[in-house]
Amino acid sequence: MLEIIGLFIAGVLLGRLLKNIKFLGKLSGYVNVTVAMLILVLGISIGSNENVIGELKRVLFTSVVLSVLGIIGSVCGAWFIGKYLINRK
Amino acid sequence: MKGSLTVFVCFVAGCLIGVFIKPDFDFHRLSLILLYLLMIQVGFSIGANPMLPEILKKISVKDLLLPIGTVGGALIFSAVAALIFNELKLSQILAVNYSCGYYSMASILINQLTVPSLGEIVAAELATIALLTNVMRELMALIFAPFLSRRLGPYAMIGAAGVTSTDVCLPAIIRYNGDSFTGIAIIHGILIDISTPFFLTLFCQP
Repeated sequence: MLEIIGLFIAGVLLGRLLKNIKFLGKLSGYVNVTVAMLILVLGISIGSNENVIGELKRVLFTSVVLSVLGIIGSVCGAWFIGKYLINRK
Repeated sequence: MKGSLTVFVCFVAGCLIGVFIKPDFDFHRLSLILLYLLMIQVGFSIGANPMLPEILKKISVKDLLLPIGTVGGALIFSAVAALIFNELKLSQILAVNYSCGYYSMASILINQLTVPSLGEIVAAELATIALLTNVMRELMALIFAPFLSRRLGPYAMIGAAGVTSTDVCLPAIIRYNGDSFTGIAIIHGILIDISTPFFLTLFCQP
């Protein structure tokens, strides 16, 4: 999936070069629309997937556990780095 | 908040359409094209950000270590989950939690990347887990922001925000910790943001 990264970098470079063109700036502002459409499509493929809907309870439980673990881990990691490596007031 | 609500509504709407209408259409082609478009748009808005040079100037090299703490911590703690959940591989758990709150990118990318190796059904399930996990994480970061800042300091709060330290959580970060943390919060989020496609691709290798 290297093309994804390539497109992203291309986007950054284009943004840097073309940032003074207001019209293009507006276009990239519609990221929300693209995201919304992608999520909609994702929802459709999940909804038409009988397996996932049946497993909803398990999926929810897994998500809760993973999100809690993730955020606690991040807080610990960031706190540690902040305190011992950065130390800015 | 509005962004999260929109995502939630679109997701539920999509699920309902899938459940009741079951459209017979190649959504893969469409989501691939939309994904390409998204990458260009996201890259563009970062590159075109007029504050970018200013932000870059105010950062010290040590500040760049913070996202390593955020992501590293998340990955280490999440790895424990591999012992609890037998159906999930370690690499899948790491992929879900790497982005620390980037629900749109994580779910969409994980779906696209794992379809070849896991098949549509399991890929969709993993993408749902990624979506829900990261949405919940973002909500928790917002809810616990004042507590974290007061008890554990600005870095803990930025770490909790994860990728959202650039946008959604930035106002809260500034409010509770002061202007001087603007630069570090933004670059923290951006670094996680731009590294997400790389690492997710890596973790989703069959």
